Formats: sequence, C-alpha cells, structure tokens
Amino acid sequence: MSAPFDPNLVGQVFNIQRYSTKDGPGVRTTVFLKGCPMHCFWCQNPESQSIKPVLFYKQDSCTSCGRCVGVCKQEANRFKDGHLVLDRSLCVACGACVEACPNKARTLEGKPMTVQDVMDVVVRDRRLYKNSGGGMTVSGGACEMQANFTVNLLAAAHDENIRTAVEIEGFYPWSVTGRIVELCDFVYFDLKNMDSEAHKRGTGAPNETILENARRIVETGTPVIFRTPLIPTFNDDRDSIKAIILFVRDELGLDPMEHLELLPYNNLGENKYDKMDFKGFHPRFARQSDEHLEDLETLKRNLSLHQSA
Amino acid sequence: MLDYKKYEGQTRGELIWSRLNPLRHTAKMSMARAQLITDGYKEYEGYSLYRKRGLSVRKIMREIPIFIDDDQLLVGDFSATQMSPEWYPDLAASWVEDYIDKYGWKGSGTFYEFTGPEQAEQARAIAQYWHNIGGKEMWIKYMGPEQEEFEAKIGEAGGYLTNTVSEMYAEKAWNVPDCARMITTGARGFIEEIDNKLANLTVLTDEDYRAHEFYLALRYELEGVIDYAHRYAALAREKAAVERDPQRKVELEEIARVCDRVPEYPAETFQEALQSFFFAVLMVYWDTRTYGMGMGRMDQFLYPTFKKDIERGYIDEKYAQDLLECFRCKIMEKRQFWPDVMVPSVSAESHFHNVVLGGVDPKTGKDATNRLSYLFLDAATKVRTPHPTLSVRWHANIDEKFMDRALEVVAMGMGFPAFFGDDTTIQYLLERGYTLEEARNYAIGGCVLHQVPGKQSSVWPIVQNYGKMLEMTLNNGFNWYSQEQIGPKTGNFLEMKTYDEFIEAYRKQCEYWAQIAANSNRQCRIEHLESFPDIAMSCFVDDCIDRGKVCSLGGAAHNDNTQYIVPVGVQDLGNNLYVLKNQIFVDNPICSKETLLDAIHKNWEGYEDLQAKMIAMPKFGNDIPEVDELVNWGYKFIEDIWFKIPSAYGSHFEVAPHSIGFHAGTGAKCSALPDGRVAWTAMSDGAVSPRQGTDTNGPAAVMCSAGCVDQVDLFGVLFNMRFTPQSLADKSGRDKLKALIETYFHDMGGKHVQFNVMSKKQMIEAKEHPLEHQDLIVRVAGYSAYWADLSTTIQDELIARSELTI
Repeated sequence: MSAPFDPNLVGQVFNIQRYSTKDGPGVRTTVFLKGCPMHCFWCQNPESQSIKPVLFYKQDSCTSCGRCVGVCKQEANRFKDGHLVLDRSLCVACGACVEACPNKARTLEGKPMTVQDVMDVVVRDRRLYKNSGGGMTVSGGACEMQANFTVNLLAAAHDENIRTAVEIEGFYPWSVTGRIVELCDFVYFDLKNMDSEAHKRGTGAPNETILENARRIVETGTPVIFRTPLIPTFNDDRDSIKAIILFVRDELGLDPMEHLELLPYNNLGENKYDKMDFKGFHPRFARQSDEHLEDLETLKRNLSLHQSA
Repeated sequence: MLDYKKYEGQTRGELIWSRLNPLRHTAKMSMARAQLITDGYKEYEGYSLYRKRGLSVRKIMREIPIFIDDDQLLVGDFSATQMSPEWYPDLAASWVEDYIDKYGWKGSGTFYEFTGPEQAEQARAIAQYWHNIGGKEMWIKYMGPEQEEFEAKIGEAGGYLTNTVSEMYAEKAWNVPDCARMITTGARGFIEEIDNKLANLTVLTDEDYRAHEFYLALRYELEGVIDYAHRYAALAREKAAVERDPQRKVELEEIARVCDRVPEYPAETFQEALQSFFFAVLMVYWDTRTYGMGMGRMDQFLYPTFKKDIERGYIDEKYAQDLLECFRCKIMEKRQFWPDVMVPSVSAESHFHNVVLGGVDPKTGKDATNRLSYLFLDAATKVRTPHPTLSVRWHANIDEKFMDRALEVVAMGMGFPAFFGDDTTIQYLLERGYTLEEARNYAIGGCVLHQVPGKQSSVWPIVQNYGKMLEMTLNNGFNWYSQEQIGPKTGNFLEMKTYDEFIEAYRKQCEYWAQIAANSNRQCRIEHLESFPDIAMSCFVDDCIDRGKVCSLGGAAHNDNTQYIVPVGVQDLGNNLYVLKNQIFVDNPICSKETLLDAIHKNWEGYEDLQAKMIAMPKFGNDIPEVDELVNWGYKFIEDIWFKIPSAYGSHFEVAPHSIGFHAGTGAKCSALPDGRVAWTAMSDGAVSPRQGTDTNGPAAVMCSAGCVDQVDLFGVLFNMRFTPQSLADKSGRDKLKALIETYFHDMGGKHVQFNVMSKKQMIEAKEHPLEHQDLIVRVAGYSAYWADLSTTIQDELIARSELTI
C-alpha cells in the first residue's frame, strides 16, 4: 500500500516540536528541516536557512566562566577584556562547547537524524493524533531542499498509519514539489506576493514557479491552505493582499475564506538573530494594529466566493 | 411557579459573595462550638463517651447562634459568626494554648485572631479543660513518653519522614459518606431504623454495649439536626413577617416551609433536597468537622427532584442555578482553624469538598450527564470561589458538549473542573471487591481519592517523602537536616559496590520508616475509640447501623482503602535513581561516590560543574522511557512495602500519591540530592507532574511520562498541568486539550488531570502585588486556593513550574 522508504536515510533536522496545534488539523508533531533556498528578510527561523548546524550563543546567559575555551578545538572561544567572545569565523558548530556550558547559554541548532530517528519521536503521540485528527507536519526551512529525506519521512509516516502534512515554499519545480505533495494528506503553501519583482526583493526569489506549483497542487485535489505572512513594507497593504485573494479565488477557484490564512506579523524570531550573530537584514516591525488586520480580513470576506449579494 | 427575587447586573450568588469575600480577611475566631462541646461534656459527664458526644452535638445544634443571610436561599451555618472558624478542642486542644502563649490574642498575623483578650482567655480555659481528654492529648498518653519523644524528634528533624506527629492527627476526613441518603430517608427514617435495632438488641457483650451507646448517640444527633432545622424555620418565619420586599418574603416563607419538612422527612422539591443534604453535611460537621469530605455526585442525586420541579413548573432553571450559587457561598463560609504548624502547607480555606459531575449511570453504564451538570458549571462561573471544587468524570461516551463547556470553565482560569478517568478508576475498585454498580458510582474524597459514596470510613493519611528516604540512605541513616542519627544504619554508601546493593539499603530504610508510621497510624485510629468517634458520619456509611459500629472502627463495609500513605517526591526519586544507576554505579562514573556525597553535603557549593551535569541528566516528564520507568518502579516499590503492612481492622495501606501541599513542606527539610536538586527546596508536586522547570518537551511528552506510570493500583494519582490563557482562549485550542485528556485517560490509563491556566508574568506580578490579585485562584496539588493566601514557598514553586503552551 504505502510507498517504499529508506529508514536509514539521513536528514538535517533542527527541531521536532510535539503538541503543535497551529500546523494543521488536530494535535501534530512538527518536524523542522534545515535549509532554505530563499532569504526572506523577515525570516522567523534564521537558523534554518543553512543546511549545516548553527551554534546559538545567548550572551545574556554567559557568565564568561571559560569552560568552553578549553573544549574548543578551533580555539573559537577567547577572552577579550575579561569577557568571553566567540569568533564565528573559526566556529564549525561541532557542539563541544554546548555540552561544556553550565549556563545553557549555547545550543546547537540542527543535527543529522535518520528517518527512523525522527519516526521514533513522531510515533510517541500516535494516540493523540488518533483522538484529535492530527498527525505529522514537515516544515522548514524549506523541506523541498531536502526533498528526498522529506519524501522518505512522509512515506514512513504513512507506513505507520500517521497522517501527514507539509509546509512548503513551492520554489522548486513540480518534479520536486509534486513528489512531496503526492504523499501528503494536507498542504500549507506560502503565497507571499503576487508581484514577482517585489517577491524577489523580499525573498530573493521570483514567484513564477511558486504560482505554477500552487495551480498544480490544486489540480491534484490535495487539501491545501494558502498562507500569507503579513509583512510591513512588503505585502500588508490592501492592494498586495487583494491580489493574493483574487489569485486564490479566480485563478485557483478556491474560496479565500476557507483556503487563505492571513498571518499577523510577529517578532518571535527576533532574539534568534542575536544568538547567531546573523548578518542578514532583520527589521523590527510592530505587529499590525487590530484595525488594520480587521480591514484585511473584511477585504477577504467581501471577496469570498460565498459573498451574498 | 415559585416567585423569587430577580437580580440585575450581578447574580444572586455574586451579590452574596461580594459581601462575604471581604470577611475572609477580617473574620476572627468563634468559640461557640468549643464552648458548647465543653459545656456538653460537663453537663453529661458520667455517660459513656458515645452518648456524651451524641448529647453534646445535639446541644450544639439546639443552642448555637444562628442567622439567615440576606438573599440566601439555603440555611445552616458552619459558624456562629459568619466566615469565622470554629474550633474542635475535642480533637486537639493544647496547641491552642501554645498558640495564645506565643502570639497573644492577636494571633500570628497570617492567621486568625481572637476577638479580644477575653476570647483568648475563654479559649485558654477551654484548652485547659481538654488538657487530658482531647483526642490528641489522649493519644499521646497512650503512646507513652518514650514514643512521644521519638515522634517529636522525627517531626522536628525529619520533616515528614513521616507526618505521624500532626496536630490534626487522624481527623475524620477524606471520605465520601453518602449524605444524600438524608434526602430520601429523612432523619425520622433513620431514627426508626435505629429504634428497630434497639428493640432487637440485647446487651450481652462489650460490643453490644458499644452498639447500644452508638445507636443512642446517633439518635440524639438526628434529633439535634431536626431541631436545628426547625430553629431556622422559626427564624425565617420571623424575618418573613417583617420583610417588606414581597419576593423576598416569599423566599423566606419557602425557607421556613422547607426547614419544617427537611431533614426530618424525605425531600420532595429540589430546594428541599439540596437543603436536606446540606443539613446532613452540617450534622456531620458539628460532630467531626468534615475535613476533605466529598460531596458526592451532586448532579446525580439532586436530579430527580430537579427534573420533577422543572416539569411541573414549580421552579425554573434560573432559580435552580440561584440555589447552586447559594450552595457555593455556603461552602465558602466554612473556615478551618488550622494549627499554626500547618500554615506553610495548607491554606486555611482548603476544604477539599469535591463535587463530582458527569460519569456513568451505575446500572446502565451509559453517560450520566444531565442539565444539572451544566448548571453546576454555570454557577461556578458566577460565584468564582475556589470551593467547592468541581470534578468531571470522563469516559469514552461523555456528552461532548458538556466537555466543551467544562473546558470553557477551565479556560477561565479557576483551576477547575479537574478531570477523572473512569476506565482505570473503575478497574481499581473492581479489583478491591466492589460490585460493578458500586464501582461505576464512585465519587471523590479530598482532591483525588476515588471512593464509593457511603461505603468507606473516614481516614487520615501518612505522608512520607521518598526523596528524604534517599537522603537517609545515602547517609547511612544519618539525618542531614538535624545532624543526628535517627534512622537505622543501612550501609555505608561509599562501600556499596552495585546499584542493587544501594536499592536494598534504600528498601530497608523505607521499610523501617513505614513500620514506624504505620504503628502510629494504627494506634491513633484505634485510640479514637476513647476520644473522637465518627458518630454522625456513620449514619451515611454502610454497614454502620447494621453492625452497630462507627465507620472508622469497624463499621464501614469497605475498610480497604481508608488507610493510606501519601508518598511525596517519587518523581525526584526516579530522577535520582537514574543518576545513581547510569552515572555512579557504572564502570566510568561521572564522579566518585566520595565526591558526590561531599557535593550533596555542601549543597553543591564548589561543585557547580558537577551540579550542572547532574541537572542536564534525563528528567522525568520528557518522555524518556529510561527515567520514566524508574518513577514507575518507584511506585511499585512503595506499593510492595505498604501493601504488606497491616492497618487497623485487618486491612492494608493504600498508596495515594497526591502530595496535597506537602511537597513544599517536606522539601524544606530535605537535603541536596544527586540529581542536582538544591537543599531545602520543594519536592516535585502531585504524583506524576514533572519536577518544576525540568520538562522541556511540551505537554504531549509530559503526558507520556505520566502515562508511563501504571496507575491502576494507586489510590488517586494527581497530575497538574499548566497552560497559558491564550492557548485555551479559542475552541480549537480547547479541542486539543480535549484530545489530550482523552488520550491520557483512555489510551494511557491515567486517573486524574487538572489544569492551571495562567501566564508566568501574571504569577510573578501576583506575587509582587498580592493585594491586587486577590481574586486569583490557582491550583496547588489538587485544590484551588486564593493566590494571596498561599505561602511564598508555594508561590515560588508555582512560578517555577514550567509553562506549557499550546
């Protein structure tokens, strides 16, 4: 019945979050994979962008006790003016200092895991999935970047009778995206901007392939919800949102009320930037006002397929 | 249709409570009961103890001052002065004299004060009368000076190695007498039953003699409660005569009519049924205080009269809810006069009066939820008091909408309803010889003790800290807190070669303290024969009247799970055993035993690195089978020890892990432990909640760990989880919680779970500004309490408990 899979295949995973409640129906376990080909300037998971492990170093928690200095083979930890400094150019994210740190100031984001390793965690909540209608969600990064691992993971979940969902970016051609979607019971798909130029400015990538994938997914009949993260200066104006709503309604033939979620901006990822000395641009916006959000929701409602005359 | 006052802006209960609430902080002691029981004992001196008590309790109900509160629909009071505690010198007296000596009439500041120096002197005189004949005082005499000294030493030094030295020792508590029988039988019915017994009783033996005296005593108390009700009827009539508000006049006349009829005769209306039940509770209260007494399945036993009244149009649902709100206010009027030593662990308002909703029908096994189940929830959303606590019995076919409503109430952040799983609980009861029908009818005594109403006697638990036992084993019986050898020498830790050797020593240490505690428990239980028999309660427990025995002295049909041990810190035990097993008794230990012992003795000072490593070891609550299994092992180990020890009346002790508030009190005298624990801090709370702040994998993992413990043979298994308010604000969030509950009960064999819904920020703020957060209710191991009333230790502990977000 289920597709064959390789339990020993290795992927790069940076988090497995149990009892996820916002990533699909019911209670879910969300598997976050590393690696993303895009570079959205508001990225909430900057640690996910690189496929390699990333060292988080929380300076607030560091007491400069120096225990990390001795264990670092790269000599990336040094004292300067009595304070500990981490030289990122030398760090290879081996994780030796993470274990040595008594203050939990360091964590390693990302580690190699086999399909089986991941499944060992996922199956723990099998009964919760059953009782809530939940399952496993694969997220990223962009899980397409580890498409082979993703496909194997999804097949392994189906083999365990666990329902699957993915959160995908849609940046890869259908030959890749389609293989993933085929194994999903449910898809979350990001629509960030209808204007390809703007899309490229904000994310580093144009949107033609993405929109094409959106059409193809709808054709497969797999249940899908499109999501638009509302980013100030990028897409949270009426025109940008209206374009997305109309795309969903007119080009995809779906009711935006049921198939499009507008996600208010949040700052949850902010401190991650400091922890990894992230050099990329990161804005510090305020969340949209309730009035603004309500205005966009009203817009969506007014353009709904089931809008009564 | 009965006419009644309608309220605008706030409900009847809200109005009543808004008047009572401020009295929580200003009410002073009442000496009414203490004086009346003392006068009664003097007046009836020469009668046998039972009869003397029966007559004295009747005297209390005939003479204690009564009042009827404005807007209240129920009558009967827990005190002669509203919101004041009454004192039971017949249970324990000397401590009050000590209290006055220590603090004067103004009290300790965090506790009740007397009304003035005269009342304090009155209390002193009462205490002196009971100096030799108070329950605790007689028990101490029975023990003899040697044991008394030993027990005092344990109490002081060991800090709940065993809590046999309790000022409230062996109170008549924690069970669920079936007070609802008053509704259907009426006091006259019981009197007739007793008269039949007396007519057929020929006194040939001392047992017959005791039966005879018990019958007379109970008969007096039943007469007393009839008279008590008639006094309220007369007062209500008096008030009605001068009442100007026509609707209130009708209400007062109805109160008078109801009290003329019940509890003397079987109840016919809903109000009569509730009032009759409440009088039954009060009859027990005036006798033996009803601490932790379960109210039973109130939505079930009140339903027939409710249904009838609604169908015939005598009352509407609004009036029924008014009555339930009135009931909540009444229960809140009950205040405890705790001994000073108890304050850090238990709030003065903790009555543990559990009202059970939902569950299954005993005969058919079908869902038993009804309209009243909903109304009880609704009443609690209006009168937002911590008591009485509501509990919902979950089963696979429970009314979904009722669960939705229950979770809405949870989301309001009152700490209840708690949820109980029928599957495993019913298995437990069947295993202990209850019929299927009885087992399906279980209710809750105290916070989590599943009992069949009217089948079990009152109890008093033993508390033991199994983390402290570990400390004693590591130190060869030497108590690190008091720096003296008080336990048996079970072996030098440094010379132990294997983990098994250590476990053997641990077993010996635990067995020793188990025997000490069990011996004490048996003694005080039997000794109550001479001082504090539970006469009124025996009216509502099978087969007391048949056997002619009070329920705690051979009367109860089931004596099995009425003696129990509350093991504290078993989660800590698991965490520590993990370290010992995997890091110490291995080829390449993390450190030498000498180092470990020194680090613990120095409370990790100078050993911070080692402590950090120990803290980083796997901890219970993260779904790590290796450590979770050790907690499971810990409970089996404790069952093994205790199931073998005989309790009074030839039964055994049950193991009931729910920590109450004792995880803080017991932890305060427990040293550092190998898992990185800091000395003198709280132990883990509840039975299967992770150690504060050590669970990092979210609620699903916590639940898997909790579910790893085989709970069938445990007598109530307390499990606290905390969620942020946001996580339960919408139905989608609550649906997920519903799935969590179902999974825990149905798939994992869990017995109990309750939810604290608060943000950490809120709690820190609440600690800093208690006065601004007086309406906050929080869960502390099985009961709700007002935040501001909690000790700072418990506040800190609650803040430290990991915040789980949905």
